[in-house]
Amino acid sequence: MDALQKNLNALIIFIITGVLIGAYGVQIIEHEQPCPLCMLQRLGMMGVATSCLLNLQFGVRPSHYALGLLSCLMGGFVALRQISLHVCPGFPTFGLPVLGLSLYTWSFFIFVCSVLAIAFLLFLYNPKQPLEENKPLNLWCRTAFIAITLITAANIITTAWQCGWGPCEG
Amino acid sequence: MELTEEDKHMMAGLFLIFTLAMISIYAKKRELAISILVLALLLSLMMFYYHATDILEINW
Repeated sequence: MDALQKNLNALIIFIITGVLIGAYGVQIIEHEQPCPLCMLQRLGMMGVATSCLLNLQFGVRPSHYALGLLSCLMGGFVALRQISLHVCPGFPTFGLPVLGLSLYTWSFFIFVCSVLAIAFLLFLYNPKQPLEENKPLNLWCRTAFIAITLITAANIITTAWQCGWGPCEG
Repeated sequence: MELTEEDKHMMAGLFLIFTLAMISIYAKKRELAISILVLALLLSLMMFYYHATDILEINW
């Protein structure tokens, strides 16, 4: 059961990585620079992914899921804030819509889905199961680990690239 | 809603902190990773609070 939960955690990481790559697609192809609230939503998704990474490396624990839920709460608040900024009819939306919805609306759905996924995983959690701490990761989990770390590192570079690490000039 | 100059540095810093949490997990330092993740979430919330009050005020 622990292996199943770890694989599902890795699946969540892959989905979040896909969403972050999609956000990059919009940023690079459409030349649409992310706003502060968009970046905070990315950070919330990375928080969810990091909590899943904790489960992969140290075994499934409720405290790791709690961190994931806190990340969902943070990211969800930010997304809701951005939705509320543009929700009035006639008020322009921020960015290009994807499948009829703005990216921040999709982001809110992702946080809601993450909460549902964590709730489902908590149902599967059995406190009596032995903790598989520091067990070597399988290829699926290792790939998820590398993918999310790379996309997070890429975000450091592109965010710093927009302005640099020194005094910002542009 | 443009990024201010200070924001950009801090945002890059927040991404860096999340990466440090991931590296700590890879290095099998659980307590350190959790501490860094909690710190990153708190800093993100502070950034959100700043944007919800100083940049664009909320009319409660």
